[in-house]
Amino acid sequence: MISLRDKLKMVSTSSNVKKEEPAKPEREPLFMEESRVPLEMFDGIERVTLEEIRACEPAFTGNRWDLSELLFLDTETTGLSGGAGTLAFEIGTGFFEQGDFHVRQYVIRDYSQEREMLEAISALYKMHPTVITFNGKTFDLPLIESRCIMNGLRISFAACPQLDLLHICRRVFKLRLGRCNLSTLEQAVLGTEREDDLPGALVPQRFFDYLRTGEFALIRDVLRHNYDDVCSMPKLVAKVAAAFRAPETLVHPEDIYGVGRTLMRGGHVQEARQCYRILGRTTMAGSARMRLAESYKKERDWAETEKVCESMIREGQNGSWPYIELSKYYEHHVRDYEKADQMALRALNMMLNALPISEGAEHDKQQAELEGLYKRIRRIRKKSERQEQNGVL
Amino acid sequence: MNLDQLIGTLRADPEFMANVAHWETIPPKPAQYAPFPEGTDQKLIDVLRSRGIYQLYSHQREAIDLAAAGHDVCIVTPTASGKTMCYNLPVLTEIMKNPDARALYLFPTKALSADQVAELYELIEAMQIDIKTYTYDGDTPAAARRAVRQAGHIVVTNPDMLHSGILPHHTKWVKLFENLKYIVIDEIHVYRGVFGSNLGNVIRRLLRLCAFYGSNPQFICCSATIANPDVLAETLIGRPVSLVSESGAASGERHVIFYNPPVVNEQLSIRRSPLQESIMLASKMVDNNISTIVFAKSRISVEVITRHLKERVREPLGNAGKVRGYRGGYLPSLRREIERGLRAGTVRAVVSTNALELGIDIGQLDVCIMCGYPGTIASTWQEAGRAGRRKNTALTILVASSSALDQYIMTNPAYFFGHSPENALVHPDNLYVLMNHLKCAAYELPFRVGDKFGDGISTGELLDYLAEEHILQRTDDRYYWTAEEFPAADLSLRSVTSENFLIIDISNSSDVSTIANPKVIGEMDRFTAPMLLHEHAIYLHEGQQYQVEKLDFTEKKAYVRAVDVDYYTDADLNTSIKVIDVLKEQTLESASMAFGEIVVTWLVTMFKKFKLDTQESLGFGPVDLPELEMPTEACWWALEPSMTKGYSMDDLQGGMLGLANALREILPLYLMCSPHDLCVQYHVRDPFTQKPTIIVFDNYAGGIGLSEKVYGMKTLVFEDIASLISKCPCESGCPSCVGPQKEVGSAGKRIALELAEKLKQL
Repeated sequence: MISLRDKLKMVSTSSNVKKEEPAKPEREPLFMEESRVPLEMFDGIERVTLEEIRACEPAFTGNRWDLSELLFLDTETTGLSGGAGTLAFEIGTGFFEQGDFHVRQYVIRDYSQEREMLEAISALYKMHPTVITFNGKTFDLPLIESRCIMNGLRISFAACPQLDLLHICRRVFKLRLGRCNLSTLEQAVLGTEREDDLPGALVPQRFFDYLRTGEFALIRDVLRHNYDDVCSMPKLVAKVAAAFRAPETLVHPEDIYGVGRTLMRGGHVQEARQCYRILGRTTMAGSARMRLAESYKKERDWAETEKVCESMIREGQNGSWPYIELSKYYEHHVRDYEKADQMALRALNMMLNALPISEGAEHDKQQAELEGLYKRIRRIRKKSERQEQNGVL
Repeated sequence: MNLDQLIGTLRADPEFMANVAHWETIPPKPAQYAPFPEGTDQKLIDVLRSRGIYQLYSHQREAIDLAAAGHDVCIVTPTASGKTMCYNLPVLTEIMKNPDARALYLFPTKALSADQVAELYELIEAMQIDIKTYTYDGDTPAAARRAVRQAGHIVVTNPDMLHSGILPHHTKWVKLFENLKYIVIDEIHVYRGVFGSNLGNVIRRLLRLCAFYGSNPQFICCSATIANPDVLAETLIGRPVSLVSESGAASGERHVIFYNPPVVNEQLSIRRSPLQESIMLASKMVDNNISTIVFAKSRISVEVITRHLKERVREPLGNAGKVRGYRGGYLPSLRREIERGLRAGTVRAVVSTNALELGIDIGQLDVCIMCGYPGTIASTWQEAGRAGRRKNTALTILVASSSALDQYIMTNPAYFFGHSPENALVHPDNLYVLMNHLKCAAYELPFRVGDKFGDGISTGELLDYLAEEHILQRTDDRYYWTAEEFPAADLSLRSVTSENFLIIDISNSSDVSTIANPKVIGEMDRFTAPMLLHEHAIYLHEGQQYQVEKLDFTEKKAYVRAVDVDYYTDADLNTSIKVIDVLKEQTLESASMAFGEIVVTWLVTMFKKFKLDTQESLGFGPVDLPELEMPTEACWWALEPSMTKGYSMDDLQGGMLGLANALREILPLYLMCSPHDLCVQYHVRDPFTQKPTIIVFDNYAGGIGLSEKVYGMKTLVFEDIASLISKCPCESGCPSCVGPQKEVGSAGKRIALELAEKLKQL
């Protein structure tokens, strides 16, 4: 006969080898550590205004921006699956009090302390109700809400305004940086470099190992990693706000373009146009002009639309696009069919000159554009004929 | 001719009647009605009236009253008896009373849920009330999921989605879990074997979470006719149920004919092929444009019959769409198209495997022909239920094969008509299944010391084991999940569906490396694929033959090319067994018996080619594929030398083969299970017992309790086997007793009988 244990071994798929482990030390209370960083370290976050924040994040619902109400928050978790069995074993917070930035980090020493930690976070949230995270909207905050439910607590982050820096940074820096993770942003935007940073993928195992061994040194690296994350957030806020305050000071045209698009989305049309105009002599000039023309078109300001299109044609930007726009303008608004026809023909010429792509989605798109153009030309000519007949009558 | 006339001519046809072993006429039954219960919402009554429903069937009323009184209910009724009303009415009534109330509907497949939800939608729409019914399955778009979680009053899903998509994310379903009033499980008879054992554990997890959120939902389960619907429901949900079994629905006159094909070889007692006879009978129906369903037992038979019938109805332009094949492996879109055609009446005959046994709505047909006994009384009635509209005559013809089981049924119609259908067996406490779900449950919510999982399963030792394995961490009196993994992801409830092979038609390309316009024509589970999709196999799909050009085992893809050949292929399966643990054993006088745990290994080594019409062998070829493994439970008899004294090796071999063949046929009758649920093997010299041994094992990973039952019967089964063999008129073996002489040898029958006689006396 074999024992239940041996049988369990047989049906189990895991192949963990049992190791001799050191005896676990006496249980300690919930870990909490707080350090202060002087305000000067945060690139002028105290100058940031509510208007700038609203410009950065058009979806920001708050009607106040008060440094003392901000709560920066970042968690370290036991996995990424997002199910009920994943939890945050560490929660790092940052808030401004008495002129300093306080970084307060909690680590549970065992699972039974989770509730105590969540209650502490809940209390902090009451005092600092504007939560700022990096990807917290989809990850950290739902996770904390879920853990509260599991522990018989209720917390809702949706009740108060919040800011997710990932979304803001993506809009501004994605074009230039491609990836928008925190370490890329630190390097490229803040100009800082981490030393001996613990890769995020190793974080869960560190905690499991700590639980088994009681060796808190394993957690130290996680705390340092999380500390850096928390400190980077206010710096990013300051940097981004500054970018919106004075886009012309930005070095990279892609960033200015990103700021412009965000401003446009928030309805700050004049400021957005200003960004596009700054880009006039840069590598982003073509795209910027296109956005500029679109913004005038949307307001039915045909004179300005025409001007921008003409300047595109002068600079040879955006291929057939300005010709088609002008053709539309002449056809529908000026009703000068001769000019409309001319522009459409020039567009056709440009399109045919462009190297044809032989297959794939691009090819289909080209074909569709060509066909649309043919249709446009036929329609313009028909209208033109009719106009002539009417004129004769 | 209409069906009544056709039945008349069949009765008057001496040639046909000569083969009829039994003709049962079941008289029509009028409907039993009952009024709507008092307090039923007037809107609901009005809407039902506008659809011609003025009162309820008696069984519907009974179920509704029981549910209203707070009972967990299990309803067992025949096809087309309006069972959806039994749960829709209580659920709608509850939600109208309390708009916060929630209900969860579970259907075994996506297709079925789509069917049933459509009906519910219509009802709700006609009532113009705000009850939100959503389907939540793999096809639900990510954007819609939030709304389902927040606002769905009735969430319709399947066990797989509940297991991996809902339970592990329960904190996002707070509204549902806090307010869950009803859990509806339809088609519970499907949840047998491994699937049922898994579902039983999924329900345990579900109820655990309900308790956490403070709700205590009621169950309404529906089942097709099986012997133990209440026991099955009770095992699945872990609570006692009130059974509603008396159907009040009307049914027309029903004829059930047992048709035994004529003997063509007296000596070998070989009968004409049931395939040919089924084709002949189905042709009669098709020629008279009588709507017909033919059930065949294998995918190959489905294809062969379809091909013949299609020829029969082919129009001058080549269109034979009136006849369609239907089986697992056809893509869902094709299946939906065939189902629509059946409902609309444009498809007049369908040839199917038991895939259509399930409650998929295909309307009702007139005639059901079964090519071979489906293996269980329950399946037979379910398949027969496909024929018969409410008031019209229905005809079912069961065409027997030469197998012992079929012949037993033909000669003992009383067994069939007098006996209750089989039990559906589930074994949620199967250690293999239990451990997997215990992990999922621990992930979902920490266990406390002393917690039970299901009824009576104490978790202590199991949880301690998981803690040792560093999957759980015990702190104070709780066990916390302490791993990165997401346990539900690695566990498939059906054990086969998750790893399907795709069948890809490459007829338009010159070779596998340069595939132009590849087309996926079907899929197949990983246990069947080595048998039917090995290289050079002839694979039939909707009557078209394909040859497998390449089987990519790691990528799970089979590349096939359309061919037109006059043979089919059949693969040889090699089964080997390793005993892991002996749990019970007893020594008898000249044999010993044991029950224990084994690992079965399957390997396909070669295939044979057979000519299509004559079945003559055309040669064979090798198959080179990896082996498949399964842990399960087994029962075995090891024969002592005193019992086998005097037999030559060859004789003993033949005798044991004969005994194994007879066991394979007879055991399902005892255990009331499907023949597929069990496997029987024999070894003249078994590597474990070192003696001649006959082994019976459960054909499910971890076992479902069948072998244990066999062990409990000791040698009782050999009494019936001895009588079966001695009564069989054949000379020295036939498919109806120990198997043909060609297989068992000239002494096979005699020795099998001698062994059975000796065994039964122990």
